[in-house]
Amino acid sequence: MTGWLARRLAQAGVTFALVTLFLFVLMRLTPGDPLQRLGSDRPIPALEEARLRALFGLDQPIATQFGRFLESAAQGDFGVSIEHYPARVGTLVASRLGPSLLLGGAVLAVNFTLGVWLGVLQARRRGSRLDRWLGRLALAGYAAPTFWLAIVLVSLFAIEWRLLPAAQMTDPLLSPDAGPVAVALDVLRHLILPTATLSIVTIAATMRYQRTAMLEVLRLDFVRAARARGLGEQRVIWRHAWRNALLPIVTLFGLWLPVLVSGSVFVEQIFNWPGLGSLAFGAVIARDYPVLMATTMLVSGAIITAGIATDLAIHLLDPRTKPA
Amino acid sequence: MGTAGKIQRSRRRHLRWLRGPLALASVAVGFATAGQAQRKDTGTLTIVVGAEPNLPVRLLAANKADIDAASLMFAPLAWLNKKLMTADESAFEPALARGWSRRDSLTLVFELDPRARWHDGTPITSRDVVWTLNTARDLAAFPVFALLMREIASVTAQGPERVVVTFKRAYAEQFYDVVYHVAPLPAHLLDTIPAKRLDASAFAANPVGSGPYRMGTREPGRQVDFVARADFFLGPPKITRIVFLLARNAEAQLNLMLDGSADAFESAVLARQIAPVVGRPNLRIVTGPWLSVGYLLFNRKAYGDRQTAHPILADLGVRQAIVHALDRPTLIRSVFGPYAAVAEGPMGQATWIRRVAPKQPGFDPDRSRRLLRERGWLDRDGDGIVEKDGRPLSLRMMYPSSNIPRVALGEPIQEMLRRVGIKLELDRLEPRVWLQRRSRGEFDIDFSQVTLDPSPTGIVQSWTCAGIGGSNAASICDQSFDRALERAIAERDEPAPRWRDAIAALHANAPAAFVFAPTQTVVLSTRYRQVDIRAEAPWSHVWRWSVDPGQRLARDDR
Repeated sequence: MTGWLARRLAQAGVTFALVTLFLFVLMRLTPGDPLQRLGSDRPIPALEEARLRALFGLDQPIATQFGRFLESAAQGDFGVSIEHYPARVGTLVASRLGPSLLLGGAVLAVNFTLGVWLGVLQARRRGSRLDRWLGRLALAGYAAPTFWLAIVLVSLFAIEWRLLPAAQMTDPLLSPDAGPVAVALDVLRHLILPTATLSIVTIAATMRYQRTAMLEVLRLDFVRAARARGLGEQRVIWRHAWRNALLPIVTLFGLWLPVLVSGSVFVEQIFNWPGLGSLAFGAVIARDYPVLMATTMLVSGAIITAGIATDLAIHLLDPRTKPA
Repeated sequence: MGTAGKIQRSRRRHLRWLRGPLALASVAVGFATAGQAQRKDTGTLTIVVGAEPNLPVRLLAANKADIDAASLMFAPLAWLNKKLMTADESAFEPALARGWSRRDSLTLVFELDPRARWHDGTPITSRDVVWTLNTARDLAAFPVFALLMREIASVTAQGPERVVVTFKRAYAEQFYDVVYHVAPLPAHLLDTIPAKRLDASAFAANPVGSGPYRMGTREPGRQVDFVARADFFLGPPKITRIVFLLARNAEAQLNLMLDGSADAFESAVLARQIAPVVGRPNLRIVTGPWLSVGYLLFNRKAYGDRQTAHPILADLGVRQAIVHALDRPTLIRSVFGPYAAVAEGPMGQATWIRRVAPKQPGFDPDRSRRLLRERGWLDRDGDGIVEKDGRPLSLRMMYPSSNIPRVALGEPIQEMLRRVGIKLELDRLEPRVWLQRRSRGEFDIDFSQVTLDPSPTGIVQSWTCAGIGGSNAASICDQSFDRALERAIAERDEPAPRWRDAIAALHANAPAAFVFAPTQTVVLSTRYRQVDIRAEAPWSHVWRWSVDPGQRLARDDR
């Protein structure tokens, strides 16, 4: 197991290094100059452009730029943002990481509690009207375009009925004296619509995976044996059957885990959620290389880590899958 | 009834006379209290902005959000009046300078207001003004400003309240050049910092200004707060707190207005975008002339080659044919509704010369076809596109995919040109790619939109021989126009006729088809009174606004 883990970590390191190199080169080869500014009728004078190129190291050959980037990135310094100058990339990413984790965490929590529970419910009532309707509703949510659903929810709950805020993470005029409970409640109100949007379009996958896995387990002998021993239905389902139907869900969870840091560009844009997704999107538009490198490295790191963590969890849950 | 009862009744009768006055007094007190509450007209203003102010100092500003934030925190020497008459120094409003006078055609004298203070309480003196103007003219540190203020010869202090500015030559916008481009900065905090490092200084992130607001809390990526100064020398602002709420997405921006989270939002909009706001009882649309203009810029040089003449667009007749082919009023009506006007030259609706400039030649498709025919462009194969020497009249027009008005106008323009026999292919480009191609001259027609300074002298950079290699992306160089423009800029007594001649010379050369001049459009809560929105800096006069006491909200006390 230790050897396996060491090999996986080495592979992950190589993958990460290749992704970093690939991203760095690709970004510089993409047309578009980060120093060109929109909305200005005066282009930057040559003298000013030269100063800015030197400031951001863009006057150097790509190999030199990459060397310098690696050197400072190894020390945890991703430099200064071009678009948000003079803000440091580390500060920008740190300020957006919390909101991304919060939104991603809320979506995962809804998906893997409600989704799992509904999937198990469907499996228990296989073929019933409830099963059919839950399946249809989940598929309808899955088929709905995220941006359309977001707009509909905002129109109804925020603009027409004024029940929830349309955008933002907090009330912009929340009193500085507001206590932690008031702040938490305020964030919660703002979290509902974006979480609902993302959960509605993604929960179908969890439900279907869970339903299928449960259906396969429920017809196995050990479940029948548990029932024959006189165990209560809840105990049979959750203690015996569900634990054995967990592997596909763990795999799915591993695939979803990077959403914690990657965010969702559409949802963050429409709900003005200050997460990493919208930061990365803005960086792509502005060709803000330092921010783009930091965010993409963070996401690729999260994907690689989630892959290893998922494999590890599966091996721990099912010792039969352990590598020789 | 016993004795006690009689005494009690007698006391009641005794006090009965007090009832009337007491009732009157209580009513009066009630009215007074209610009146006090009703009279309260202070409050907050939450403004939706599309970009974050990172360097809210005019000298360092990189985007509109920086300039808007700077206009709250820094007062200039004088404000432009609402007509934006840049060529007349009597049309400016006193700010840090309480007055000014002219010694001769090359010398201006400013008298500072002794009441003016920096946010840290230090008096604003002539030393601050001299330091700021001299720093801004440092070519190595601030080439953009050095170019804008290149006609200033010297700036000197005469005592703590008097500043003398001399110029290299006499021209109409001397005063504008001194007061508009930069606002004074606190020399006592900055004169030890090298000019090139100002942008990375602590001051740049959290400036000490001279304006009605100082920076409050700042949440990166979310919002920036500005707090009113009770000691502002022109009077304490009634809008006590301003929040810049960052929202990049157009949908989110509008939703923040519709759900009541925000109070104001400035945007150039299409009719269909603003439709959800129309009819909302708590919102209104404030419109006014603006400084933006959109036009089809004809490249005089070949695609990506600055040396060779453009094979089609170097011909004046073809350029004029394109201008005549466009039914601009119809284009504008269909896309902008009432929120734009037909552009009549390289100036926005608010640019003062628009009021005197001659109109661009109008829609005349027959003349357009005739011009093409005279130049040998004929449809010989009957495919609807004219040809010459076996080559079809085919052009490519580029524009950024992020700009909704230009995207919306692209296809109608394509269709209008097709009707006169011109094939137009559309290149919707990613914004940075569009800018890169523009700067390299890699286009036939560029569908540009620019927001201009209030002064018409900016035309020099984009439309004259002097601008080639800089802002003049289309390599336009017409000596007759350059001479006419030079005369207009130099004229001090009667500039209007000179400007009329200059714009007429520009139209004669048809360097572009000027299409739309958007209206400044601000979606604003109906809660505000004494609203004064300026074209060049919409929030610079918020300190004069107040809140309708009848429409105050709980958040107005925060």
